Amino acid sequence: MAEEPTIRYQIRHKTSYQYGGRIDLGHNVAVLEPCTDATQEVSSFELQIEPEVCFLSRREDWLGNQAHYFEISESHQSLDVISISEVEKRPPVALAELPSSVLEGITWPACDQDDDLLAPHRLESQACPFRGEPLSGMLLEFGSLPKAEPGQTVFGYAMALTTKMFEEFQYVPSVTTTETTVQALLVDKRGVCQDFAHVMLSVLRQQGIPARYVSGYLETQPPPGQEKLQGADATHAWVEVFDPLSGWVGFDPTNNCPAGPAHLKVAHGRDYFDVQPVRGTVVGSGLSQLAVEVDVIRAKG
Amino acid sequence: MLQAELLYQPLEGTLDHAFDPSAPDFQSAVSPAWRFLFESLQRNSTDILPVWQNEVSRVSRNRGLAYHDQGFQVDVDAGWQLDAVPWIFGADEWSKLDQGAGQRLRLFEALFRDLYGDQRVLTEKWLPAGIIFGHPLFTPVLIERVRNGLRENGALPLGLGMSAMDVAFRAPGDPVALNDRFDCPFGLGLTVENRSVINRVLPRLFRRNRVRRIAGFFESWFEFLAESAPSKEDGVVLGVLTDEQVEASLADETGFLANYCGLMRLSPADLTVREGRVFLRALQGLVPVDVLWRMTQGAALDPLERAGALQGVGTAGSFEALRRGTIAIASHPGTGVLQSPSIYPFLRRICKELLGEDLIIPSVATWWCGQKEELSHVLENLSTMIIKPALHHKGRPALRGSLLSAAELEDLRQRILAAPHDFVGQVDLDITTVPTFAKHGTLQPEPVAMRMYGFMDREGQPSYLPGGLGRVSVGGKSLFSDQGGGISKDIWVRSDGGKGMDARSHEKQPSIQAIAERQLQAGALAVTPSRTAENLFWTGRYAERCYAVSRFTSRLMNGNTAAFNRSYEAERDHAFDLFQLLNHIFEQESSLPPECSIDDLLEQVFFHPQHGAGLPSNLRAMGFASSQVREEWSLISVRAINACTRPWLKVDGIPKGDGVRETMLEDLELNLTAFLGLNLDNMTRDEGWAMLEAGRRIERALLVLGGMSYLARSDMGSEASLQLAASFLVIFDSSRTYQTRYRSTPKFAHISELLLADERYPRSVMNMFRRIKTCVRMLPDSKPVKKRIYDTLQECKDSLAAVIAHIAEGEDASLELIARDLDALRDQVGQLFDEITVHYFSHSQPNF
Repeated sequence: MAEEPTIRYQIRHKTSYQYGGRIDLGHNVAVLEPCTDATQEVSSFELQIEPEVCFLSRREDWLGNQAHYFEISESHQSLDVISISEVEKRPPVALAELPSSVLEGITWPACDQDDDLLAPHRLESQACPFRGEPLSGMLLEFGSLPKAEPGQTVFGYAMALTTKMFEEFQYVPSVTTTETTVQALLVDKRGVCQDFAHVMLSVLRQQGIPARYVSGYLETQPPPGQEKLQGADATHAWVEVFDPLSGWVGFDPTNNCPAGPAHLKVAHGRDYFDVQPVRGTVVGSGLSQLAVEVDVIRAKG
Repeated sequence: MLQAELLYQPLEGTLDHAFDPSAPDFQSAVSPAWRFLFESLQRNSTDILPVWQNEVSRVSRNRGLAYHDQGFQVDVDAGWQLDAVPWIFGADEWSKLDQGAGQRLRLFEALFRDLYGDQRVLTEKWLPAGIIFGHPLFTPVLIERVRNGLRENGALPLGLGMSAMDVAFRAPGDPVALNDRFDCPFGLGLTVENRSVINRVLPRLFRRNRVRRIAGFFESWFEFLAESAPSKEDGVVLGVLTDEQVEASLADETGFLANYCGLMRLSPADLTVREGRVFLRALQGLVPVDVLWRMTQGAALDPLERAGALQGVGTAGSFEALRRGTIAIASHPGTGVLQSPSIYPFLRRICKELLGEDLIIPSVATWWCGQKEELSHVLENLSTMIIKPALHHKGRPALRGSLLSAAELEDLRQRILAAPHDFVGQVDLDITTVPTFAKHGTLQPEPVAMRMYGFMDREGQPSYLPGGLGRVSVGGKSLFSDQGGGISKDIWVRSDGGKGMDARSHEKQPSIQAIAERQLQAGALAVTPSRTAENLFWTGRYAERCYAVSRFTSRLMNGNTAAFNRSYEAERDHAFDLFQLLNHIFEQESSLPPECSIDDLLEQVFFHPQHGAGLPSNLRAMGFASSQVREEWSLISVRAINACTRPWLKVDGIPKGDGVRETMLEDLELNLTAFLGLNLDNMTRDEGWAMLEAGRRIERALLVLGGMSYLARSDMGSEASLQLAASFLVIFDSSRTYQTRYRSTPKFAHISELLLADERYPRSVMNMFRRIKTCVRMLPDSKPVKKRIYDTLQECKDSLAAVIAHIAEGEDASLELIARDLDALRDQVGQLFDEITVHYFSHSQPNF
């Protein structure tokens, strides 16, 4: 078998806040540094913050993500957080080649090979509840179809669910917010990648399958014959499903595929709120407006 | 010879701590620990009990701290009642209990470190992970902190802090743990308060029993906190962390503790994180804080690292400070998860695994419904069990199956089936009784439990308060609400007698002075938190405002006696004039028609519970501001404040009837004067006092300026306006001085001279300005800031001088212009207030 080619990506992710009034003090946490795992390696990472920070620290959080904490104490009316990463990506092993356990009678270990507990990823979380009526029944109904087949494997089920999500849900920006509930999504069936991921996580966890939220980027291709526009890319979200035989594997319900060579992972968590790219509190007045620009560029040569 | 059975009979079939009816003779029937109490009752007969109980009520009420029938909010809970009869433990009995409680504390400490560290209890499956990760108070963002703390420093981070255990007895000497509490357990302040009251009511009995004192425990606790400070270079700054706005009962609790221990009471809004370190916003600027005794329940400490919306209370960055080890917080955030009763079924095993010991004090038998067999056991025995929420108890009461109807039981069954992991069933224990008076008015056996308080010191040694919060069961058996009030008891622990007496607490008490001295050495007591300053400032402002409104009100009610020859119409018009004057002073819009009656005015404005210019709302505001800085007041000041506010804030409204309100008003004026006078006499002349004083003087200057601008606008020729001016002088306590000095009917020029210009007259605005200057001088130095405030003050004085000069022009002066100048001056004084707020309270300015 031939060596799979490694692709070098440069990612530029800019988050801008515009405040209605002057801000005297801001505390923030950014989860923007891509992770290094079996399919990708981060060769450089840089955080540019405007206005200048008076304090910055980096740590590994409880989920294994790289988090940056920073403070801004000079009076400001806007905040720009720009992360610039270089990632070397190898294509992951094809789904068909990965061993997967039969769902019936499966016993989950308490932890996987990375010494992570599975429990947090099998339980309800803030954005991914699955208990209580009518939500519980709605999720059961939505998730039941592909599971009916005997001998169904963990990954087989996850892929079938990915396809069902893709077919029944419509990708429509700006109709949902971070507050939109899974129950509302199951009724409306419209939203963005983050919503797709939350619904799928609720379904999987209700079935007892460990699953986690992944934040990251997806390289997009410009229409044939056109130059790629700056800022055309976006942050992306998908899910990872755990199988005792193969560990965590990514599925992208927004694009009906397993996570592939164009899926660049930043962090994982129980849901969006564990890996929010930039979150902050400010002392001062005025509502804020948020703008995000992302560029994912293949390095030349 | 004791004849105890005449005094007291235990219940048939229930074990009692004081008395054993099956004993062969009286001597052995009364347990030794209770002998002195029974002797005392026998000597005096039980008739002495109502006397004791009355004394308890009186002392409690006068202290006005923990017990209250009426707080500053209109809807406060029923509060606690204290039983005059203590619950007495012998030395041996207590020492066994102490040992068992200490083991439980060591166990939970180990469990806490494990859950926020390696999580062996989960990976080894000694405890189902769902119990932990499903708990809303489990704070996984802190997991790494403990891991890193253990790895990098080699030292252990600050652990659980103050912990509590609720314990009941199946038989004397056979304790069972009902609850374990770690997330800022309630009731410690109440416990101290109970002790202070009972000690005063039963001093001889207390001494005869050689009851162990509790001050030593607090001294050790304080030492522990001080030693926990990450850096001890420039002395240690300690604070009690409370929520900014707390329920009255909790405000009492924390205020009392802060007072007792001489610690600053801080709220998350007092704190700010700069460069990964926690600072206190103080009048002096930003002061680094080393240790916080946290009394804010729940997870809301750092809004930055909590899922979901970011609004709300807390100090952003405080978790980062914890991670960096720049601050110690006890109780450590995230301890709430240990309170889950679903841990109980697994605790015996965990104890064996983590400590290598057998559990000494068992937990009450508990079944977690998250497991199949346990679930069916609970469902089968629903009608005899206590059902509790497994994960988080706040706002979700425990249910006693035996008290539920068939329909309610079925409903409960359905709720359990829908979310079994969220419920536990517990045995409803038959528990022991002790003699109790307060419940029935006679000495009766009542089932009891108690809350013990302890902590583990830096060497890993548990230390327990000798005493605790005794509680009388609400409906018999072993169900106790978590806060909710009820009858409480002081707990007495007898020392070994003679030489064996607890040497530390016996000889070194009162040790609280030592605590205060240490704080002083550390410079901590010299720091005034900005919020404290702000609340003192507002207490001063509202006190002045309340005084003015009460003077208005009594003038309105009694004005007729001063001019009894006038018509009812004139009297009513005068009342409306006064009302308009008040509106002008308080910048309120009137919605009442001029033809309304005096009674309408009184009901809809002055006595109205919500009206901004009325008495109740201003008194409520004063009470609230003062309650936020309770530790600043002497006991007698608290009594004065309570006497001012309580009669006016009753749930069922202000009492009515001929003369009742007149008397209330007189009392109010007297009590307000007493309160303000007390502060003049008793308060240290520090920045806090300066703030209270500045608030008063600024408010008074505003009141007088507002009134004068209204007078300038009214036509001073008419009979009605003369009457108004006369009333104005009365309201501002200047009528007599005016009469002595001018011997004339009220004239605007004269009133101005007296109330605006005369710097020596203590009610004049010029005098206010001088006093405000004295206050500003006392504020911490920050040169550019102070200069700006002095400048503004000087501008105010200059403007006032200009107005006075204008008025002195006599006939040529335009009253309309004067009125406008006075209004402008009022704005200038307002600006002075804004500057103080910005620089000393909010710290929103850079370079400070």
